[in-house]
Amino acid sequence: MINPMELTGKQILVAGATSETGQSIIDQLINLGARVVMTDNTEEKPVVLQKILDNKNAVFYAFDIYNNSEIEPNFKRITDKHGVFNGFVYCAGIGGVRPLAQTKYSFTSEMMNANLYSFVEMVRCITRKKSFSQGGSIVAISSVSSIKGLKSKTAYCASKAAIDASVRCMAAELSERKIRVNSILKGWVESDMKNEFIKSNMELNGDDDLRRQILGIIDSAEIANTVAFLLSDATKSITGTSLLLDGGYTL
Amino acid sequence: MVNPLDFTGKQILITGAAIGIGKETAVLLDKLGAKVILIDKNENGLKEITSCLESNGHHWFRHDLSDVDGILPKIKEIISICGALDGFVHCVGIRCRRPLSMITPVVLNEVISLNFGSFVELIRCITKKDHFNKGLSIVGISSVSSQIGSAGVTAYAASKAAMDGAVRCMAKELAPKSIRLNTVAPGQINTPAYADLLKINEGTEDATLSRQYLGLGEPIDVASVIAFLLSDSSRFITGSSIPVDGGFLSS
Amino acid sequence: MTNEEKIRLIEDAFELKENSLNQETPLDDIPGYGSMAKLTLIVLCDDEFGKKLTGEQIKAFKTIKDVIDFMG
Repeated sequence: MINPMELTGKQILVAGATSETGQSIIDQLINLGARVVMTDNTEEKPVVLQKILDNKNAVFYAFDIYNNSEIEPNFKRITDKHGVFNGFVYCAGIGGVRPLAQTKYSFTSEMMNANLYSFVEMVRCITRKKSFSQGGSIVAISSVSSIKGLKSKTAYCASKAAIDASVRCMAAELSERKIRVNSILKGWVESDMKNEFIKSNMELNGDDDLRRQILGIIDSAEIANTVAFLLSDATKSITGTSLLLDGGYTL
Repeated sequence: MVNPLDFTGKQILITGAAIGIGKETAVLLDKLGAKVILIDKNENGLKEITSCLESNGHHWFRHDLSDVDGILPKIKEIISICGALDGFVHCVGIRCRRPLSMITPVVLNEVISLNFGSFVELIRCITKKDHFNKGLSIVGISSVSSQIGSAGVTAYAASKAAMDGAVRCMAKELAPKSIRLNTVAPGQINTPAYADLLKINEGTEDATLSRQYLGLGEPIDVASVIAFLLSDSSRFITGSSIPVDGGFLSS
Repeated sequence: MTNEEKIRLIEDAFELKENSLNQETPLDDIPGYGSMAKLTLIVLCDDEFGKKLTGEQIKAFKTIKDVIDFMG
């Protein structure tokens, strides 16, 4: 039986590996036959990743992924050791809920740094000619926040809108090498409910926002499948888009 | 005869008023009876434009808006001298044409902090109590680049998309205070920045212009839409981005 | 930080005049005290005191004193 989403022979770099979404993605990429190199800014590996790392097809690098000056040397170290990559997934980033009056520039800056600057710098480094293959694929995890206005999420929404704009430009610029760049606009995911600020905000607003997501809450396995789909040869002609994975939220 | 764009008695803050669209906006609002308060880092430019304006009672303040932390004290100074605002137009911004491989975090931050960071901080400060009058309308200059990807403009596009994302949120959050926010998204406009672009392109037809089937726009085309958005005629328009693009986005 | 200073912080966050609030003021008396205002208090407790206040907890608060006691 054919498997259009098979990733055998592909080497994928995943940034933000220890988040719940990251773990689901890595798990599925391994299941589809990929070799995965993962990074995050912590030495602590959750149980799911520990199991995966027993697999010879996976390796983990810890460094401060939000410290922009650490990205280039660490990526060089990774590509020197592991050679050419066929895919890159950015599922790192930070969330944050804050009224505009309390959205000081230091907060906005931190958000832009984690959700945009690190992504752009990582793409800049990984797509050096000798590190990324012709026809490779890049996926950023974005959010419906990129396209919809939400109270108390000015900085977060701005950062997601920015990452999607950068995805479109990178798609145009890297198209000569047939490298595809896309993002996923996710709605409310189960793991969001574990974030204390998001949870508080939900409690205060009733679950009105959640009810807009008419197909119910999304689980990270769905994101993993969508990422795998975009990394695979099944989507050779999809580039510069932001794929909605929102359970009907934006309808 | 009624004039829906009569700004007599209104006070409008404009950043980046020394050249281009900002300058044209100041000139137009002056003709429409507004008092304008101009901010730019170019003091000579400010003096020059203020002397061209037809009526008296305008103010200018020199401030480099890339110093985002210095914005709050500046706004407090401005309000104490001039009184509350009825409108704010953000025209300051830097272009950035660079291949992705040369967009380092330092470069990216320079563009984001001026184009977007200063915008949000200015709004955070202007919308504090007693700094604005009911019906305050805010307009940011975004770009078609916010929505369309092209090579070489990753940093610029990201900064404009961030502005649009922030406007969607702030519009929702500030609505209870009777404040509206929108952006305009110009295509190619005949400004000094465009003249610089022509020099770089050296005669090759600009890709945007070929899709912009109404031809090259003029600053007054954008200033007119800004004036409309500042006026009560647009009181039901908020959280949106209005293209002023000669048909570009739709073609 | 003294209790008075904490009250000044809250007044500032809500753009209220100095001394418009005291410990006994019911939270519902704060103009526009809804979910955004509650979020403002949550962020204030985190930023200034490093204390994580939840939505559930804040719903149970009745007066300014409840907030100040939480701030610690």
